[in-house]
Parts: sequence; structure tokens; C-alpha cells
Amino acid sequence: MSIVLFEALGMPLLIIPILAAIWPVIDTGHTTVNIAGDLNGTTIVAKRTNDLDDKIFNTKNIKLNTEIKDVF
Amino acid sequence: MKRWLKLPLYTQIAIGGLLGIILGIILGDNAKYLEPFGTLFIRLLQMLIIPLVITSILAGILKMKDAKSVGKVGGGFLFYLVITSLIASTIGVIIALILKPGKGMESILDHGETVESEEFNFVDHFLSWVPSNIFEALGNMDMLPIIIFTVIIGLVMISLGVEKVPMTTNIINESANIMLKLTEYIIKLAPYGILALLANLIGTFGSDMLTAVFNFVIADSIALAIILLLVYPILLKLTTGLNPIQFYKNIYPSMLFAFTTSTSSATIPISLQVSKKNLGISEKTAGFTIPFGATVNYGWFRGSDWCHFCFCSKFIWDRYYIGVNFEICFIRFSFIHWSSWGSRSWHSHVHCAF
Repeated sequence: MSIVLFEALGMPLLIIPILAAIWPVIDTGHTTVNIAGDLNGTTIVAKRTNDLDDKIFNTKNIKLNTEIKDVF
Repeated sequence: MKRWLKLPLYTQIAIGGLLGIILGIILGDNAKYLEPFGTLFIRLLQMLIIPLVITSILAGILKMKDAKSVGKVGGGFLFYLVITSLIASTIGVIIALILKPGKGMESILDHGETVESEEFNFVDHFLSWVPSNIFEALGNMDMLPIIIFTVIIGLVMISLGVEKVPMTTNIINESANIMLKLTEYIIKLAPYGILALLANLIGTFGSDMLTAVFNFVIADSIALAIILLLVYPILLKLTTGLNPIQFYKNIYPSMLFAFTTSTSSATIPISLQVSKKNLGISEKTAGFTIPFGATVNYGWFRGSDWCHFCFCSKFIWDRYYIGVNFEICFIRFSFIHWSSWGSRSWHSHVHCAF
């Protein structure tokens, strides 16, 4: 896809292998920001559709364990 | 050993990551022998994506009971994604114009390989979102057609009424729980997988490349920090009045896991847990938005990736001395932005290109 876009914008394709090389370094940050963004959006939508429990949201010092109980 | 297993997963991941970095520095090029373990972990995570996304989106939709709430939640979340990516692209362009990360890259660019390009048609691209053959979409892991099909099936089930399809509903809920449990087991391997991945990355990464692209990485990080520390908190405060600091305290397990694995889909089960237990959001909303958000990551729709693209472009413009101003940058990108949604991660395309 990026190849198509670069071509469409009339930009040199030489950059792609270089970006592929540094990608692992920047990908961590991007994934983190995207995940935080998803949760931010989920919070906003939930709050506005009355699907958010303020009491749980504002509880301090919660310890989340990784055991998954039935979610659905 | 017993003490190790008793440590919380996040501590284990942090220790594994640290050991991986140290091993990478010590082993250097030899760290490549650890790569298969990292690849195994990533393959296991990839194995989960399709069944996990399908079952949790369906289970989420079925919880909503009527199509109106699906539209409200889905539409609201889409609107949020659009707004944040537009803000992110603006930030990306501004920072790229100020910092000019492409400077000093000339020598590297001259040694790049040439890559083949292909034809692109916007209408065909939008049409490709609708799967003509769902099994073909599944086989190719085209996530957007798969999601569209899944949402349609979910809406049909709601319009039939969940009480008319009790067996299918039960199967979906049980499958969703099975997939989440399987994910939990695979995530237990994360400390070892991450150790191998980081050792390989550090060991085989050319330090020349890193110094050459240092400016680029710095500029990229600044843009990400602005999104994370300003854009998200302000949006949250303005639209809901909730405390952003409390929000970040609640979601840190998801962020830590995303940071160490770099895999959005692997973070789905963690984020579902975080939404339910820490944010107080029911699976009605989170069951839909979390898998959806994590999957459109593949679609280059996301704010931060968008801002990254602006960098790449500005970076090249600097190199080729093409005069460009903010408006041209922004308008052209906005146009391409819409057309690029739904295509697969540019990352995977880069690897196809080799």
C-alpha cells in the first residue's frame, strides 16, 4: 500500500527499504499510542452512551490480574 | 522458578525485555539464532487474530440487542477515529516542517533499492472492502472485509431477535470465551518471546542506520508524545469530563503490553479486561470497539500511523528539495488518507516489497 501511495504522491520509492529497517524501532511507540487511542475512544463512546461506571473508573490502586474470566 | 512464575506477567515481561536487550548487546550478530523463538511467539499471536476478532465483535454486537445502539457505538467510535487521525496528521505535518527530519539522509537514500510499483484505483479499492468470497478474505487475512461481513451477520442476528437464534448466540459467546482463554495462554509466553525478539533486534541492528535516522526517530517520538499527553487527555476531558490521569492509571497494563509486543491484536484481551475492570465499561461497547480499533490498525487509518506517514513524506521532500507548504501537504494527505483506509498495514507491504 505504501508503495501505491508513494507512487501516487510522486515520491521516490527508495525510501521504503530504509523505513522497513527502522520500522521495528518506531513501531513500538505507534502501537502504544494506537492502543491508548482505542481505549480513549472506547471511554468517550461508553460515557456518552451511559455505559461507563464512574465508581469503577475512579477506583484507586486497582490490581489487574491477567487471568481471563468469562468476558462475554 | 516457583518465585518467577508467581511474579505478575507485566513484571515478567519487563524482566524478559531487559534480558533481551542485554543479550542482544552481548551476542551481537549471533543473536539471530534466538530469532525463531520470537517468530514462534508472533506466529501464535497472528494465529489468534481472525477467530478472536470475529467472535468478540459478534459477541459484542449481540450484547447490544438492537441495531440502533450498534449504530450509536459504531458511528461514535468511527467519528472519534476520524477526528483523532485528522488532528494527528496536522501535528505530523507541523512537526515535520519544523524539525525537517530528512536532513542528513542523502547518503543513505542513494544506496536504497528500487521497489516495483503497482496501479491503484480508488473505486476498486472501496469495492474491495465488500468480500465477494468470505473464504478468500479469510484466507488472505483481509481484515476489513472480514469485519464488514461479521458486522452484517451480527446485525442480521439482532434483527431476527437473539431469542430466535439461541444456539448460535451461545456458540458465539462460548467461542469468544474460548478464544480469550487461548489468548491468555499464549500471552503467558510473552516474556520469553519478547526476550528473543528484542535480543535479535538489538543484536542485528546496524548502529550506523540508527544514528543516521536518529532525527527521524526523535521527530516521530515528539509527535507521538503530543498525541498521547495532549490530544487524548484534552479530548477525554472535553467530551466526558473524566480525569485523564485516572484514565492513564487505569489503562497502563494495555499500554505496557502494546509497547513490548508491538502487536495491537495481542492487546485485545488485555484491553477488554482493562475496559471492564478498570474503566467500568461493559462488553456492549468494548466488545465492539476494542477488536475493531485493534484491527483497523492494519488499515493505516490510525492517527499515529498517519502522522508517521506525513513524516516519511516530509522526510523525502527534504531530501529531494521539492518546495512544499503546509496547505499542499495537508490537502494531499487528507485525500490519500481516505483512500488508504482499509488497506493492509504498510509494514507488511514493505516486507512484500523485498
